[in-house]
Amino acid sequence: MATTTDAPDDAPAIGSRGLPLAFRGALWAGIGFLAGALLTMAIRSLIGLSAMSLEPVVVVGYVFSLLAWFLGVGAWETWGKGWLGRPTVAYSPSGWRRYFGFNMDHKVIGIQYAVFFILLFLIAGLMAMFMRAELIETGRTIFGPASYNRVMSLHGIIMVLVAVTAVSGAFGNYIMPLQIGAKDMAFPRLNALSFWFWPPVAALLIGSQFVGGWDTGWTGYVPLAEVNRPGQLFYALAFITAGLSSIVAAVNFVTTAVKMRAPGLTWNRLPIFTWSILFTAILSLIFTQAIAVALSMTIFDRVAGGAFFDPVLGGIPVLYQHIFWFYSHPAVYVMVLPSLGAMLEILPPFTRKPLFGYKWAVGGIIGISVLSAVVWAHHMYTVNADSVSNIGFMFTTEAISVPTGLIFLAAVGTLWRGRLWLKTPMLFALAVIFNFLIGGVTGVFLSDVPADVQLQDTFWVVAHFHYTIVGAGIFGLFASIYYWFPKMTGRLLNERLGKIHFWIMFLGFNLTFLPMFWLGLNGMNRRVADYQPNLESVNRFVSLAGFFLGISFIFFVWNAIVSWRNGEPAGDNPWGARTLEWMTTSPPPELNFDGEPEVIGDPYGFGSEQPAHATVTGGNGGTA
Amino acid sequence: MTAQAHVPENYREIQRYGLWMFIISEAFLFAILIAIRFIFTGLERPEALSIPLGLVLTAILLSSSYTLHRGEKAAAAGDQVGLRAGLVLTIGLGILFLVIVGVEWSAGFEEFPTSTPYGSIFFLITGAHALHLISGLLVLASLYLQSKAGALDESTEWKIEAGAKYWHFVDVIWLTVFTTLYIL
Repeated sequence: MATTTDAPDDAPAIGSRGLPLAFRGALWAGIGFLAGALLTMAIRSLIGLSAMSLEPVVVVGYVFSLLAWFLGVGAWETWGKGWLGRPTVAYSPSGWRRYFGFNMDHKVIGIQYAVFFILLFLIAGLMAMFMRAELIETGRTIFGPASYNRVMSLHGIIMVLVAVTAVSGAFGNYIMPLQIGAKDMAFPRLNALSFWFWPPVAALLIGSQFVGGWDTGWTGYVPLAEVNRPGQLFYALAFITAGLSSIVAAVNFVTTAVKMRAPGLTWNRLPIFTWSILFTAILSLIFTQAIAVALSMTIFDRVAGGAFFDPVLGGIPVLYQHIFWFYSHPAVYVMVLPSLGAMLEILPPFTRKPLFGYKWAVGGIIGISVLSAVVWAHHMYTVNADSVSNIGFMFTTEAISVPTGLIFLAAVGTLWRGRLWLKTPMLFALAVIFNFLIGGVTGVFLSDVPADVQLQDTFWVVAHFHYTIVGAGIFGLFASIYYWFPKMTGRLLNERLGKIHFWIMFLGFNLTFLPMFWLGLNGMNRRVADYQPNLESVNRFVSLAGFFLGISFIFFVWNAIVSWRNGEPAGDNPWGARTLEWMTTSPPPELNFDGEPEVIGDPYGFGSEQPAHATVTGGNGGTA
Repeated sequence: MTAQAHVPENYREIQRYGLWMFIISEAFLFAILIAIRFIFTGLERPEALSIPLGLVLTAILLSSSYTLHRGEKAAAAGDQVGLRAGLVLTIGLGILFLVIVGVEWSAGFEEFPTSTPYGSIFFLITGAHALHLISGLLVLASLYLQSKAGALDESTEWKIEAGAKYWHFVDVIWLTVFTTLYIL
């Protein structure tokens, strides 16, 4: 786990010419799959089972191909050779090639995550457009009920993975080490590993469609998940792989945030975004194991004839939901905490005021993280016959509004009497507050058992979680992009295109999802390709608003491409912020700072006589 | 990336902290699995499960921790041959453990197949433990190869410490698995 190679500087580097290493990784993965598949067939025929059984072959083949993929993409030369006692080789190509191999620089990995997850977001967003096309009128429109649920499931799982990973993967990696004055993450190799888990996840999810797909939604509930087509197995393998990536990344984030802070960066000077990444990582570290268990049990039942979720054999199907939500409710906070942290990070420089109630906001983040462990069964009110435990979960769920309220308190207190500088990142941060308020308040109805029994599995739920996860999580992702893009590329995003993107996205989002509350109250079910005729006019409006929302991302992609190439140079600190990432060049040099950073004051001490947050001494840098 | 340019002074402490974070996460995996065992089958377990065999397995793993500890001590004293002897003994005991688990599994498939609740949880938990043990064996084999190639010295003693800590962790997990599957 050492950070560096033992190779001398003149050792041959890999990946500097020819095809990028990712192609070799794909080739090795294919060979690995064949090796694993043939091995399984051989063992199965040796012990007298039928050799040609798809699912066991796929499971073992996939494990082999995953290992071969890592080695092929560059882990062999940079890491694996060391396991045999041979010298390792550096991976240090320049230009675009550095993004297509086992690169260990946290700044490269941050950009890999950002681009990869924006692509996934756009693909899954397109699926949502198709779903809205199906729902534009009653009856069959473009693909009918079976395909609708397949597309819905794929949209769901990809968007969940985007929401869980995008902000912490991209900005946790790129910005957090800069904010704490570190030269890199604690474990650069694990960091590269955590990113390269993702292409196999995407390949599995796309591949699942070639073996019949699956239609359980992103939750993969049993018993349907046990009798479904083999696509369901691909879903389970993909989700477990994503979980492994989360765990590896979480070890790295926690260690980095706790152990690698610059001198003087005490806990009550730690930037709020870093706080949110730290607690996100702690949640991932603990709870992701539960999803691995739940899905392993499903795979065990499918592949090895297990009894876990088959009531005929003495299994307990409801147990799946308990284990699943034991991970997946904390995962909801893994989705929104980094975005809320980014929102609180963005408010002070754009109001030129200190962050209001900093310690209360940190307490809010910690409180949400702790309570998230004890609310999972509120997803199961209509499953639990036992009304006593429902009351307990109702209480803990409603208690979450207290620490959430602390975060709102910090946000609104910072805005209070501020002179708002309405640049695009600030507009997105304000939208996070607005949307998350609606998402939070409508969640209170769902946390209430009698109301939830009526609203369960209606479009009210769809509207509610889109308001929290898109309204806060994804708007927070775009706030982060507009805020930190200048640091990552050295160029500002175009302000006019940014504002067009913001207003179309903000209006489109609210016009799409507000009417869904009404649809849910009027009995429109989720995960069904059709609805009652009296809901048609509102559905048509929602679909058109959804297409309008979809258009906004054309402006974003156009803006990102044009500005990355020819945008206005950003300088070190375009927003006049005080935290450490703005005290180095844009983009930062290889070791992040031109000198040794030392923290001497409050990160958000705007408008007061306080000293700067930090100094960088020893290089050419000065005090910002 | 330039070699050794940005390794912090307290890097050993950072590595140790990271390893503990990983071990905590893995401990949650087994905690959840063990909780499921009790939800599933309460305190019942099949008669066919052989406690003496389980005790033999436990004894093998405990001795393997001891041999690895001796190897680690030898390495700390600069004795690479002693380290390799400890590694070979530990790997041998680990393989013996897997063989006996294999024997037990083939008997288990008859007595409590995967299609029974106890069989499901038994094979899932012991399978998860065996996978961890196999990855531990790969780490130890890698340490052996590195020692043989002369790639281990005082500056890389962390690799031995990490491998040993992980192996001891897999041992401790076996003790909890043994207690919950065989005794309770």
